Amino acid sequence: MARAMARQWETISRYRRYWLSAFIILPACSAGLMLDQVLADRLSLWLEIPTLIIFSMLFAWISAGFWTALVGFILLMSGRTDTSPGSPELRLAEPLPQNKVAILMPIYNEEVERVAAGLQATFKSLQRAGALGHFEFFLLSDTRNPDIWLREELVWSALCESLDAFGKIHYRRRPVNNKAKSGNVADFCRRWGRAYEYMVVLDADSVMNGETLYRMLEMMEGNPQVGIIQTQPVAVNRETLYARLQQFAQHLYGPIFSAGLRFWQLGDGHYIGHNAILRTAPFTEYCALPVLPGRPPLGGPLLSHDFVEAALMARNGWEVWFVPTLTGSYEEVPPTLIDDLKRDRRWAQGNLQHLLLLAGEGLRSAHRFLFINGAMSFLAAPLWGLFLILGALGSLHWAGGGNDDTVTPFYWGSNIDPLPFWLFGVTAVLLLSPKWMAVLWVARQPGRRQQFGGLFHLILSMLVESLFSVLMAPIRMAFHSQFVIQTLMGKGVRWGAQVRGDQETRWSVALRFFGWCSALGLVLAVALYPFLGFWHFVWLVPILGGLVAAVPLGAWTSRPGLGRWARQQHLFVIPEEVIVPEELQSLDSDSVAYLPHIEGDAFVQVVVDPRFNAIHSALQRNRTGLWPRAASLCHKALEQGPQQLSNRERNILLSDRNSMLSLHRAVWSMNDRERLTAWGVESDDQDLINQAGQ
Amino acid sequence: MFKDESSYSVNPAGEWLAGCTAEALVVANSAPVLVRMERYLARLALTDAQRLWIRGQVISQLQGVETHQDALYARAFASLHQALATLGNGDELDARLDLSLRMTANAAQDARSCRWLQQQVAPAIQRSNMASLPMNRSWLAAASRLWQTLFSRSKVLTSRRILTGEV
Repeated sequence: MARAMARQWETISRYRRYWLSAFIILPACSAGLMLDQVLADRLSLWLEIPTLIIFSMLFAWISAGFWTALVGFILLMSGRTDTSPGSPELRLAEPLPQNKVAILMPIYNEEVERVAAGLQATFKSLQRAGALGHFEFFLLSDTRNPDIWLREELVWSALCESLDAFGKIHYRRRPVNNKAKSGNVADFCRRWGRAYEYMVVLDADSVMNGETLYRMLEMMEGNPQVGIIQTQPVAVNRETLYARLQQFAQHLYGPIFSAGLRFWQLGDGHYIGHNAILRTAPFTEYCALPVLPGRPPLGGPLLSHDFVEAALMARNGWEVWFVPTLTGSYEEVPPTLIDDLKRDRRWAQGNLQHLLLLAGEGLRSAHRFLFINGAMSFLAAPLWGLFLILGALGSLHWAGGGNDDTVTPFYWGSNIDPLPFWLFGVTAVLLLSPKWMAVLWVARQPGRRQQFGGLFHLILSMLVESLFSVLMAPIRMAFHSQFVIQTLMGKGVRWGAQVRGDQETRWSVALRFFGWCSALGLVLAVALYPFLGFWHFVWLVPILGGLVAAVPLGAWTSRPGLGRWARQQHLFVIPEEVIVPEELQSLDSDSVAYLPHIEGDAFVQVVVDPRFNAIHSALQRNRTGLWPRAASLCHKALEQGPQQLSNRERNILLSDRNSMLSLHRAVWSMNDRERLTAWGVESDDQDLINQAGQ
Repeated sequence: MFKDESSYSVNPAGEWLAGCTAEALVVANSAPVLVRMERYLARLALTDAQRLWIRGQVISQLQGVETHQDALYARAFASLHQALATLGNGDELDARLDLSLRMTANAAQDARSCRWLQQQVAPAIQRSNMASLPMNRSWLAAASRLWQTLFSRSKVLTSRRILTGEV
């Protein structure tokens, strides 16, 4: 096999990663040794060793984030973007006319109008950029709910009609949802991948600027060694307080972390599964996902596919670049803490599965690090919980407990070493300083700080956001620990549709979901207070307070009203709210008001309405194999009414053209009033007769 | 068959009265059937001329038919679809599709609307294989590779394979 020389960026990245490793490992070891000095004579070995190991691991993990942010901060403050040799930004080429890009939008039981609005916004943006000739859209549906499926079809035809996009926007529904989203994309590659040089994968809530898409295409054309270019999608459009906090944090802190990440990764970047362009041929050849040995949740199909796909692409010599300077890439965040945690539940399982690939032959070290980092995002929670428990045991062991009048928050008696306070201070700096770095960077640019509501409101927003992060951290810790334990104990998670709208969490739901957290916080507070004493207890207040406040936090932060109020007070403002990009302006509900709206049961409407029936039937084929079963289901539907059909039975009828045409004719030919009422036809007739009589 | 309005203007053999009476009888006897038919036609974006012509076709088909009310609905609906098919070059589904998507003069003319729509919904399939490649995930093998990299004289190749498109 022909071999090429190592690329220039590989040498650069190798040295950078050596430095990063040194910056992570050395301070973690030093901090561990410092803590050891404190603990050595005071704790027994069974408490000391696990405390030290967990502390060092957590310290290393948070310091990785700190160093990434610091490097990003330095790069951004110096006004430079990282353009190492080989960066795709350096070599753009005009796309060949025959090279086509498929924009894929995998959907699964999504809110159809929102999907259509996003697709339409991206389509129009490409039209404005004059680049539409290179792009085609594919709505790849995995929808199981027949009502949503029918709406998708009708919306597709209406979109094509209004945008004059027949042949530019395609729709495919997959009846068998093998391997979820990754299987959906793989199915596209198998059927049509050969016709498209590149594909852009979007999420159901993604929107992209046309010029950005064209720039990505130019980068791919100019850099034939690049397999994936990932943008940094920014969170927009949400109104709940929780989502606005997330949006603000992502906009403010995101750029420095992204710049730092790019600095370490270079051509061994990551792929987050959407808002990225991929070279179709190598993706099809190398990125089919392995099925892990063993049973789910840890074995079986991979739940989080994106990191693995990037690793497989790089394993076969293709470069994966993260280009955070590509603007005009948008997504939406979960509206509430509950929805965020539900998503985390899937990610937890997926990221833990990645650990089984760590020893995979040929994977690049940067991707092995990403697997570890991804798993640590969730493993850190139980480790932190364990560290707190060990810390509590240690302090009981050490201080002897009780209410000592000489103790204050910073003075625990004359025989206490100040070293732990130093370690606490360093940890706080590692965690909080990136926030101040981001504020400094924004404050330095007058135009940009106005886009965050001005300097005062920017700082105030950052402080309030930090307060919320501190309060929510223990809640996340509790839930993430639960997720990890559940996964390790073999309890898997089902593939579910994501919530995209701003829906409030009712108090009863918050109590059911977070009640155990609040109860845990209260029990721990009552149990620990007598042993620790007031001033020792004060140190645990942020953690126990967060746990106790889980129910009200979950409910209040889900309120869109509170989010809007914060917006009126210029809190958590993001640049896209001050200067709204054109593609986001066209996302409002009015932009898709022309789309057909099906009232009531979509199945009934598609059987009865001659237009809907025609569109749906035309898109199906005759499935002769289904006819015996379909015939009996048709009889059942006509005899007992459509309400008696299960979703599965409806799906069978809907997927056969002959059945749909037969049902349509049969319903309109019936003379049984009772049965007709079930199909909503009889009432119409009566209305008309009554009108005629009057 | 389409009936020219001019045919109503002459009545050489006094057939007008008979024809009119027959149609009036059909309308009177089949009011609920025709109401439902109107309801059906109202859901399609037909012009007035098309709607009246279809109605006329159904009524003329129902003339002289003596059948049970149950069968009358089916008969009327079959006539309606037959008339729609005449509008749509012989295929009732194509006719309904044209009316739904307002495609009377679109680019689909050399193909049937139904087939045209299927071509628009998804391009022609060009199959490719996509299967996962073998990957040794054993920790023992990984340790052995690490050992080889660090200590063995026969180093693991650090160069990479040439990609398609690379010179």
